[in-house]
Amino acid sequence: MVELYPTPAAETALPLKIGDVSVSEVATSLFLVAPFNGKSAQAATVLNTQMGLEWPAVHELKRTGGAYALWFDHAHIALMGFEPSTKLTRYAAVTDVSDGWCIVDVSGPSVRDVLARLTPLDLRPKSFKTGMTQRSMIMHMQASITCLGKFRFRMMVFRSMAQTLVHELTTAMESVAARAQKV
Amino acid sequence: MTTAGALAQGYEMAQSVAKDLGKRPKASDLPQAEDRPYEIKPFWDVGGKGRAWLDFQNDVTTKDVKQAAQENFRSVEHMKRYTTQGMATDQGKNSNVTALAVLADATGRGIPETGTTTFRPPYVPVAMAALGAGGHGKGFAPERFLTSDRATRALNAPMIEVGLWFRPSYFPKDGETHWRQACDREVSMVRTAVGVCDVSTLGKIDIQGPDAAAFLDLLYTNLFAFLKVGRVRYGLMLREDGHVMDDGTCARLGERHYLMTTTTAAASQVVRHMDFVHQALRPDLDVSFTSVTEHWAQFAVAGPQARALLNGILDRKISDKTMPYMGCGAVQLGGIAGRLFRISFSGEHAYELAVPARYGDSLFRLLLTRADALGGGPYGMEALNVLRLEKGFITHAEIHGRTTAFDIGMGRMISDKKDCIGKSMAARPGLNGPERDQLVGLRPVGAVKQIIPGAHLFEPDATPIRQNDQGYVTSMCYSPTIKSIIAQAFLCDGRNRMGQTVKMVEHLSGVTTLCEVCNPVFFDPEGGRLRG
Repeated sequence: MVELYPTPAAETALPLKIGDVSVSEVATSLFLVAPFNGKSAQAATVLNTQMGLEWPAVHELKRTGGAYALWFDHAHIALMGFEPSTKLTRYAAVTDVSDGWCIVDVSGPSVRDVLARLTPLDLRPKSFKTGMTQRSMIMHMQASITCLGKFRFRMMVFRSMAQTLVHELTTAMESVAARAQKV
Repeated sequence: MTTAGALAQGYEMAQSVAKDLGKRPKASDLPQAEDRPYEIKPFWDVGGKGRAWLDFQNDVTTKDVKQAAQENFRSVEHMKRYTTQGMATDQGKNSNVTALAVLADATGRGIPETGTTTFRPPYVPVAMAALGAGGHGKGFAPERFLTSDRATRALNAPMIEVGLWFRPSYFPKDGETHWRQACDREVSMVRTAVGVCDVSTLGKIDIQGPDAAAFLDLLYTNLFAFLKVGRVRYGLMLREDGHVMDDGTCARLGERHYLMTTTTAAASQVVRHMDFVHQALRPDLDVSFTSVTEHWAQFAVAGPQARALLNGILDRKISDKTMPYMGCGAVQLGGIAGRLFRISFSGEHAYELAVPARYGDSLFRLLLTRADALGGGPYGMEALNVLRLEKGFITHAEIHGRTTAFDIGMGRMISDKKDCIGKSMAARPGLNGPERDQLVGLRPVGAVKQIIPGAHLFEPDATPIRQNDQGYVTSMCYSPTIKSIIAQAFLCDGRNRMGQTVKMVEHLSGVTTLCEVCNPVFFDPEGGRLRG
């Protein structure tokens, strides 16, 4: 039997720390779920029964321990950190996209200043609160950005663009760190 | 507040501070100054000869504003549009107040009665660097890399940009000094042994739901409703206007589960199209889809030794019976779940093997090692293009947005048993018939062997002017299999002109070549190499 080895999306570029902001790659499963017509309630029940998670509304993240359910787009939610129950496939289209995205956690006191250079979203704490998730651009890449804490965000871009993500984050982090230096 | 008052206050403060510091300040005489309260009189227009500028960006003067008022553009909104004062990038920050005052004076009103207009962002100065949005160097656009990228570059393959992706052009071997040597070798290698090519860039769309088959039947020209589980079918997709949008394959993975592929070039266009069709045209269809292009690393394994190679790495061997031509199914490699599709873009006995992208680098290296042991190896985009041209397969060089199913010889793929997007528009007069430029093959038959994509076609004795235009060349290569230059072209009523001679003229260089019109399938027209 052959033995295939896994390679992380960002390969060896992460973790990274510049100034007071850190970036690290997140190893997690990722499933997209879209309930079939008229089956939303049943799908929500399956999710709740399996993980004790409520179905997230638009822009919502629901989490318990390492299990996350977040709004993803007009038709899908995303599940991270656990394999959805097979019962869910009776009521929803379930698609494994775990290897399709490069997922990173970015944290530190200046994290919102770093993100301000990358995305047009309103990053003020009162506008982008813990437990909120949005779809936007990170420079020219489509992305999913979730606020996990006042100084912590989870960002996702296509796996093939991982190098570009690291490049853009590095540029923004260096820019913020340079302004923090006392002359 | 007066000047004299300010001086006196300043003097007192200075005396007080000096005393606090333990000094004895000298008495000073204050300069004489006005002791009248501060009053400003409005003074908007200095007057005098020559132009008095208000808006520097749009070149608006006080005269323009007064003239606007004179011509009865008395409202500030009218004056603004008539003169364009305040409409440039500064949005009136330099000129609004003064222009308003000039207009107010000219119309005998006060400023509050005259009013202001809306001005738009930026409200505060914005650095040009911010407006540039990081669009310099690598910030200009994302770069997309294959899972096989590292191993590919380690083999010194020159990379080409295909959209945002980087793909290998060819894999030079020691001693080779020209790309054609590598390309010719790779083509022969695929046709006699086995070749490996990373095809992950092609769009892959996962489609699920009770109405998935109906959705496919609407999108594709041909029937998909009766495609069996474990089978793959070639499909053609039209735009609303009846022209070809894309071609690809669609595999049925389960009862209500399909996997559609698209070309690399049209992947996002097709997804957008599907979003529109589902949301705007048929929201009643109970179907869901999402792109899985990035999730799967997918490799073509093509050639007579393809099955032998795969049977050396799959946990369970396949046979012609368990994996027939155009079949598909789940496979395992060392316990890792993958997918296998027996489809071919080279015309050889071939497969596409997909694993989750985290294993892409590992699988690519393994495939190369195993291929090498069988006399094969990796092949790049140049060889891929030669292989498909030899077999008469098309790319977006042929389905370039102005060709129809009829033009490419696939008119019969528009099923008469069902409707599909583009079906009625494709039947319009002018989109079918002998006047259409139809896909043909070309081979040079004279002393000149060059066939140049983009060159136009004429009757051999016709003057090569626009009025005599009979068509144009879309793709060309040297075929080591046929041992000739071969090409694809669109020629007026081409399918009825097999065996005729046409004259190719490339007007920039003047290259003129006599070509024989032939079947675009140059090699193995029966398709026997695909099966068995």
